[in-house]
Amino acid sequence: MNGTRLMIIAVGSATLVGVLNATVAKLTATETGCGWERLPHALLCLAARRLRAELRQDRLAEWAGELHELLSRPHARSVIRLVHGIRYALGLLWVAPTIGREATNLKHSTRTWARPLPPVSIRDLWHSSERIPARRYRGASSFLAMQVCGRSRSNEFEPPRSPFTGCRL
Amino acid sequence: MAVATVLRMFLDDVAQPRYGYELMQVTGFPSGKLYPILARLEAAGWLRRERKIINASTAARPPRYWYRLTEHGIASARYGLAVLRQQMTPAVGTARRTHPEVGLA
Repeated sequence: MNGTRLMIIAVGSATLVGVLNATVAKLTATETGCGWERLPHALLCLAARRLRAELRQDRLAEWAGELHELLSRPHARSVIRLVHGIRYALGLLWVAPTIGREATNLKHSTRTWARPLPPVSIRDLWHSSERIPARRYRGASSFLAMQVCGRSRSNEFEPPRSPFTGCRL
Repeated sequence: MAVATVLRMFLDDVAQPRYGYELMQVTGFPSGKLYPILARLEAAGWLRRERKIINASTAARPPRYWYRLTEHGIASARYGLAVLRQQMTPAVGTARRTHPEVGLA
């Protein structure tokens, strides 16, 4: 009885792993509108936002070039390339303030994340949600989703996207 | 030591410009470790960062940036590595203490 139960669990687990593997492989192999392949670029955009404004374009251009090289290696599986790309971007996201300090010879940088948003009351949001730029009052998860998916509810206050990274600075 | 490793890569062939990703592969350093070092060396004037000239309209890829040692950087890096090597080499008295067989033959 125990052997039969173990066999069923093993077959079920193997099927689940196979389905997950196929799904991830398909997601990373095909160019979808909101695919995983955009995640490293989105993380690079976030990393650039942690830099001082005068450094952002230049550094992001350099990182995007290296990320493109990393993601276009011929002898690696797409999943492996994607993992390496995410690792590359996460490393830069973590040390972006340090890079900014080192590049400008500053001991302490005042710039970390995007500038703080001005206070706004719930009533203001409720009554005038259409007039407030949605991008400025969005949560971090929504912001990340917007960067990954490239979608936005309101485009009127947003600067144009970079042609290679697709992010707004 | 990480800075010394990066400088040694550049000094292996001073005329050869190096890309960030290439340096990551050669040194084994992750991006979070390598790029602050490159930024520090560039700010100190030891490295020069240049944009590789490509035709973006036909290449269909973002431009790449490479790093190269400056004249000041070559001299400073050679001197710095020599001093480091001297500091890492155990003194004669130390060698005798840690390896008593040295100098007794």
